[in-house]
Amino acid sequence: MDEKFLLLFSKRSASFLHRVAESLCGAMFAAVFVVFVYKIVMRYAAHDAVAWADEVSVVLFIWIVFLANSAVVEDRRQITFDLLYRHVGPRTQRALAILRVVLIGGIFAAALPGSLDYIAFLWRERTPVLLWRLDIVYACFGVFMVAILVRAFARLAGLLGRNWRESL
Amino acid sequence: MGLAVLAGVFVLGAVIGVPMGLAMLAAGFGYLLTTHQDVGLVVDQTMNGLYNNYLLLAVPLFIFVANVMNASGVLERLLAFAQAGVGRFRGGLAHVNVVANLVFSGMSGSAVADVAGPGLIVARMMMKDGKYPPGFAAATSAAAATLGPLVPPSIPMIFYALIANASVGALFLAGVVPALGTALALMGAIALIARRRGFPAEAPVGWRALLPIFWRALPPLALPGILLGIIYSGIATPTEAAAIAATYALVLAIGVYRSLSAVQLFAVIAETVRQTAAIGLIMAGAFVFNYAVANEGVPNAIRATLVVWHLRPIAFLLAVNLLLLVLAIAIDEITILLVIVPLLVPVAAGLGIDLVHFGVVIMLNMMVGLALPPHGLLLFVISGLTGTSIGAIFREIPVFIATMIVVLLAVTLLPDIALMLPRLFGYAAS
Repeated sequence: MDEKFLLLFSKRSASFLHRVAESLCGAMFAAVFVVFVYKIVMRYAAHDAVAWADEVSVVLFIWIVFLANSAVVEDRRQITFDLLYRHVGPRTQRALAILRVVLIGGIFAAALPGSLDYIAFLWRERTPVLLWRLDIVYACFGVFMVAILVRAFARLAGLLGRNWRESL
Repeated sequence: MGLAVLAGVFVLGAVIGVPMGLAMLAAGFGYLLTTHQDVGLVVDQTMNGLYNNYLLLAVPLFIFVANVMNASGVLERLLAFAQAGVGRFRGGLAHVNVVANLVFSGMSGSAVADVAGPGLIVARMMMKDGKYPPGFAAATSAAAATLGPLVPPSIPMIFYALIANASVGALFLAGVVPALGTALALMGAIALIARRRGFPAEAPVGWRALLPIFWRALPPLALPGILLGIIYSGIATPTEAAAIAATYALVLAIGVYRSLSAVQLFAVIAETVRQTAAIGLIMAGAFVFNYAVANEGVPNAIRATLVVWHLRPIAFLLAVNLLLLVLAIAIDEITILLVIVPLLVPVAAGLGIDLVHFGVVIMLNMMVGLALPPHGLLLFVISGLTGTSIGAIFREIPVFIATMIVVLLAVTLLPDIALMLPRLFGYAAS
């Protein structure tokens, strides 16, 4: 496999993942909404408190936040202090971007084993109503950390490559 | 040492352009790693924080309401209403801008949605045919959109309610009079400017035509009232009220106006997911960051310092105003709300300041910050959307900033402006 093929392959699979995650998060949001409406209707129509509804909607909410931050939200859509970045030339921007990737990537890499360990350790705990395993519920945070690392690595490769201006 | 790493990573990360939420998470990790604590605490704090604060679920639902309304042509009805009401005065379109934003913020929980919605449309109307200087038009939109955090439903108020353990319903009610006051003050400033610079008035709408225009705008206009009614009567919790508001918006858009296609609905959901995730990341980061700050004893140190100073409540409130305005020059409003305000709330409570009043003061500060050069978010959003140079907007915004600061001072010194409406509905202020 040559380099071009690899690049194309990684771009294609990234955009595929992006679309899948986007649809999944959208479906989860729709589910949150439906669960809420169902809960309110049931309380008044059937005097049923539907205790599981709150739990399902909160779990979906957490998964939306971390899955979307893993693969849906573009970097420029994040809330960022860009006063400095906006006012410097492309070469300085490149240096800042590399520093950013190294800082976040480095810290997240150092913290990854401990975090995954902690999530795995939660296997014996369960959610109060539906008794879902907490390690599975909280796994989205692990997915998020790995995604941040993969994105940092890809960004770094782009910034260090010949076409670094495209990665700014 | 731990505190230095926490602050160092956060500030360095933020300055070089790391998203705020990610910078806070990284700072939390860095803090735990250098103080040899379990990094699993980050997972513990973020996940439990998001898991246990059920009220946060109202945030994506209110974002959804704003996006549905934006996509469904409700805006045009509200603009027609605003134009019929205040277009006839000198500087008419600028007045329309304020009224349209005031009304629209009753449906959206975020000022950015307001400036990108009615703010953008009216700014374009103002710039058309050179009626108004582009800088003034854009500055008016930015200033008018700051009303968002004060008018229910307000996402910043939901965050504040969680931080201060205050009633969402009381906060929503407390924002109403200050919001109307700010709108009137902005329109007063516009009237003066319009007379001096000779801005035009729009053709007046006859009284007979007013009623149908009002009738067409009534369903969206009613939303804040419906929301407050639902929350106050106890029919539903604030989170459920958000879901009811979302249902109302969908029924209006799909059933009544028939202006939202399936494709648009998917786009609205995708946009809602993005905005929710961006805010959610900051919330997650703030849980970790605040844990570390508390673990290092910072809140107690601040309280101890202030006790030595023997600050009176009024002096404290004025100092908070000054502090938040200075911070707003560098930090975004949501970060201030989630990181700085939690340090201030216990002190305010200790001084006997009513926390609903304090919340409204914080919201007014956020409003000023949203439009404050050099970093005010709304200035950059409207500059980007209209293509007006940021310098031209900077030149026109000071009058509006000064006006908002006058309102801020009035609400700071006279708590009754905020508290009279909640009291009317049985809120027992401390």
